[in-house]
Amino acid sequence: MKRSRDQGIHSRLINDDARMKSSAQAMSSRKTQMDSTKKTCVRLLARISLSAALGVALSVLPPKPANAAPSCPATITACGCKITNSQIYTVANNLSAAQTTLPTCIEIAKDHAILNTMGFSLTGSGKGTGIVIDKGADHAIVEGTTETANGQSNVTQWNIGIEDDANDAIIQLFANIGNNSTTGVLVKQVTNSIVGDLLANSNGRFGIVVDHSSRVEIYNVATSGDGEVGLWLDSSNNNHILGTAGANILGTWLSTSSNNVVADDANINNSNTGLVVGCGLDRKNCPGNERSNNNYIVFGTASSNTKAGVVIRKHSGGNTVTLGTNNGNGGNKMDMVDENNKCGSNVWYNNTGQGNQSCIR
Amino acid sequence: MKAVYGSIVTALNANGNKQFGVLFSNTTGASLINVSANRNNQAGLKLDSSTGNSIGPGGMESNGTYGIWLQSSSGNTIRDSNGNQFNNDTGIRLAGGSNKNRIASGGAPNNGKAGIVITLGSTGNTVTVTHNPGNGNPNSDMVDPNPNCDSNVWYNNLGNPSQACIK
Repeated sequence: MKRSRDQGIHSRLINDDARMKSSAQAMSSRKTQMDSTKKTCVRLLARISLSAALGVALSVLPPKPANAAPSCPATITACGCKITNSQIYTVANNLSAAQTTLPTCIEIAKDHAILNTMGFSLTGSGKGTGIVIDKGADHAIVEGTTETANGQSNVTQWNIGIEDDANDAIIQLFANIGNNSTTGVLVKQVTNSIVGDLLANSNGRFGIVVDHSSRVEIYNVATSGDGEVGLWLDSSNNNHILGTAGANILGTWLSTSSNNVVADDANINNSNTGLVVGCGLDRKNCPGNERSNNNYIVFGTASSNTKAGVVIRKHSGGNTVTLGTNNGNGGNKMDMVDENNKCGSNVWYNNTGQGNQSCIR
Repeated sequence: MKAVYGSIVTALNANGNKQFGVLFSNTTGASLINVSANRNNQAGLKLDSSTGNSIGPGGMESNGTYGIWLQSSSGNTIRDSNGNQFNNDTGIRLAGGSNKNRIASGGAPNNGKAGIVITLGSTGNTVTVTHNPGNGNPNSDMVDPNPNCDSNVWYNNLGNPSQACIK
């Protein structure tokens, strides 16, 4: 198994290298586009200044990009459209990246829009995004089925399955947002969004990522078989996480993330550690200021992981771990690990499993 | 919980009390996780002038009035809260200017009068993926007396609604 895992990591490194080269080419291409855009902007500014100087009111509109997505019809039958009204949209058949040259299958660009994919699949080609909720398109609802239907949708084989860049979104009822190149669900720089009742399995790197976000609710989700981390909170505070993360490298990782509640969760059978609070495990003694403080880890399970159950890394303090069932992890006295001297200001109480210090109870 | 911030209540039953099973009063940012509150004389859970709290999983059943009662309470999230049932009056009630709450994935079936009720003047709430059949009064599985639901959003729910804007 270990050999297989090592081969997997080696393979991923090679793929990462290829992706980086591809990204470099894309960045070069984008730089050319940006230079072109910059020149256009300079020309527009010159026109505005000139018209102002002449006292002439000119209507200066930004040039419409040649590849702008058309507005979605209320019944969506193909990838490559943008939701522009605050109304209900439904998907009528399976959708695929082959139906468009655009990088996103469905883009939600209007607040209070509702998208229901009605159990149909959204299948990518390894790049782009299945569904993106644009910044400002607040209060969107994205659901993968109706209460009266049987099957839920799969969103697979994109770079990112579903990306939420807007506040107050609700994303739920998906059979699997999985097998995407990088991430199943990315919640990015938002507040108040809800992600629930879905699986995010077998993604290249991450199942669910909460990035620079707050007051996000993740509930009743499962992330399994993701290449690196099942549930990753990156620089995100005041969130609620209730989910399952198994058979990843790390189950759940709170990275530079504070004041979160992780409750009723299960982090089991991960090839490294169930739950990590603080800097990455590759960072010895956590130099710098990568701290995750004042989190509550309550009523959860972190068992049967290859190395450790719950780990609080050095310099992270004020965390409370209680009512945890953390037995049967691989390392000696590694069910619960606190790298701080006498646990620092962290509180461990009423847990089961073996700790690396006597302050862990 | 009275006038507190960020407290957590988890893994307990609050049953058979004279008023409420659990009461949040002027409380912010608290969490109620895996709690049931059954057979209380009034409501199973009451949020009174409380904002930004997180409720669920857990259901409140067989209470004297309401399963979950939000009074003048805004910005709360109730998710994965099934089984708000067999209450004498209503499963989930949002009243007294309770705004911008979200109820996502849950249910309020088989209550004496109504399933989920948003009273007049409570707006900006979202109710989605709830199943609420079998409540006592006609067309009262989901009730919203605000004209055209005002800014409340009801989507992807089951049960008989009081008006067409409830879906």
